Amino acid sequence: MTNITLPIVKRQVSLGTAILMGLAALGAFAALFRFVDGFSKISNLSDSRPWGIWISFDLLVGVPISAGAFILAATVHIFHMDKYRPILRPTLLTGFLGYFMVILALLVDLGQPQRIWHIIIYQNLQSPLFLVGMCEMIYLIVLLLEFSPPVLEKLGWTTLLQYLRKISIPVVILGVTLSTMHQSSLGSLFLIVPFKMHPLWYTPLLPLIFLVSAISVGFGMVLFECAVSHQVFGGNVRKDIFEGLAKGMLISLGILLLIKLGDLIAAGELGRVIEGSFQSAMYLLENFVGIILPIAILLIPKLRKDIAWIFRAALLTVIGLVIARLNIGLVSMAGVPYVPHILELAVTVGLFSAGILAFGYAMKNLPLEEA
Amino acid sequence: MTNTTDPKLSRRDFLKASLAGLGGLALAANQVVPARASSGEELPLEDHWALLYDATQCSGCRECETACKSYNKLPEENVDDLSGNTFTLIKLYQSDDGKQKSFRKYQCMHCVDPACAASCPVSALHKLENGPVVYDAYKCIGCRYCMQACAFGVPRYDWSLAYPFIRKCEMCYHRETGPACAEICPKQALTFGKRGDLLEIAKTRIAVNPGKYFEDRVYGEFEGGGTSVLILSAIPFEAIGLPALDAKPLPDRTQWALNIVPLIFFGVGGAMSAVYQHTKRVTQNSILRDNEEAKP
Repeated sequence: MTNITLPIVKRQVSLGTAILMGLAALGAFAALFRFVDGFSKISNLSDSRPWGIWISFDLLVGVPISAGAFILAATVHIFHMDKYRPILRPTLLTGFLGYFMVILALLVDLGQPQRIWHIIIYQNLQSPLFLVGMCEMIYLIVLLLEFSPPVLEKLGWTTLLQYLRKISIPVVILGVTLSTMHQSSLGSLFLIVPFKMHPLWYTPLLPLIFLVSAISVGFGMVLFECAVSHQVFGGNVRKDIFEGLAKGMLISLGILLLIKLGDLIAAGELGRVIEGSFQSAMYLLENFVGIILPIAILLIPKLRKDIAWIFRAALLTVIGLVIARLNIGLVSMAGVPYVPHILELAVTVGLFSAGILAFGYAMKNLPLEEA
Repeated sequence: MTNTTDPKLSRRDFLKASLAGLGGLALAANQVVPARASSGEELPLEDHWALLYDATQCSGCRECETACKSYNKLPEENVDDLSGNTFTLIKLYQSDDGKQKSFRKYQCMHCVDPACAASCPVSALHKLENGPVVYDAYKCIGCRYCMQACAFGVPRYDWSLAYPFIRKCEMCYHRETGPACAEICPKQALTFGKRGDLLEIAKTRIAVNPGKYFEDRVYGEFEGGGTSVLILSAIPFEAIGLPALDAKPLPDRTQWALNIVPLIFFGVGGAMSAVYQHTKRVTQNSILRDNEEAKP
């Protein structure tokens, strides 16, 4: 009897990747259904609930969690804080992928997605949604320009690379401007529905609250990604980068808390926080998880210097923002009860999975460590 | 008049106070963005097409529904709310003890300053210069912001389709003799005419029958900045499903945020350029200094 040496088959696709691929495929399948059989087959959207999970999560969460890109681009290129340069490229990549996924989700959500370019030609300056649409379209191009250097490096297109370097500062400034405009305009979308929205959320300051919460969660996401890429991709992120980002997050969360609290007190609606309704409970949850807890953690000097605790604070900020935006889109709105259809959720989950897959692929294959 | 001031709206005052500093600048920026996208200003408001619905005269015969269906070529369906194929609907409201009851005609209110038109990102909805709020399907991208923005829940969507459009009453704007529903009404429940004339008729009815109509007033004269569909009712407006709105047009609530957009664009852009120049100089100076110090 001879011993046969079996070739060792190395598993090409990890379990996590396989699951993500499965979810992405399921999402694509559900989206296909919507384009063949109509909305009612895969969604619980109705005349009384015209905006569901696709708007409340994919748009209202997708845009702010991609805010890290403009914050970091400004930090490095405009404020000349060079220590953050090593994490700029991965952050720009997440930003680009985030916005790309938002656009894909909107294409599923729109009734006439093939006409999305109508925003450019039939513009309505009175509509906050026009502003959101225009800024996002232009910002996607800005992100593409900001992120293209590693791709061009890989392709070896040095001439184009040099041209890009020349316009890089105006492009970054445009990116910051557009981000300020559309992050806040997402909040302006809801200014026109005072009659539909619970008074805990409705305030003329919605645009400001949306902007500041996007900045705090932008820091949160960058911290989160640093920690994850540290673990998964074996990167080595310096501790002072963590501490600096945590400081930015703490300051923006503090400002957010002051605005929200000041607004409720000035409007005389603070008492509603303890009115005992489902809405007030959700309002308390979003602020406790997403603002008060992370602030409390970061106010303790010992924890502020501990990467594990910084990571926890960042995670709480991100989770809190998800709750806050779902509250705005779903909980605060009057109308028939709405729970997303399972296939509606599948589209959202599928797009999110596809985004993570694309990020992983790019981290492995593009020169994200700046030369 | 206790129900017409929405408590939520009092926050506007806080905004005014907190933005007092920005106010002057916002006013200047106001000239950059047109205040109204509609061209409705060309005909005076009192000459706009309008409808007066007197709920106390309505017998619920639903002839108006049939006329609407036939003129707009809509299929019959059994629904209890407006839909993609039902642009107008009569509902019966009854109090629990059965003492108070009233019909209510649902349809587009044709607001003087429509929230749907203001919110539409592609200008697919607009107010004609003679009043009707109409829809250009060829522009629509199906975003449903109009449905979200309308205080009366009027724009509807055909959810069963893969590529749906918005559907709503357009006041039969291309019909020579005005809306089909008003023409067929056998009672004095639905009257078509100029908004100014109809307001006068409504106020005469109130004056002739004191105490008959709720709060002796016409719904739609001021609500949400005014509507072209005016409503008289014996029972409280909210009891027949009419939202309590104050006189401020809904699009005005978005206006401040839109007004400061040019300010943000140039302000943030300018500030970022200044910071860039400043920090660049500081960085260069510190490099120079380091080099100096490095020298023996």
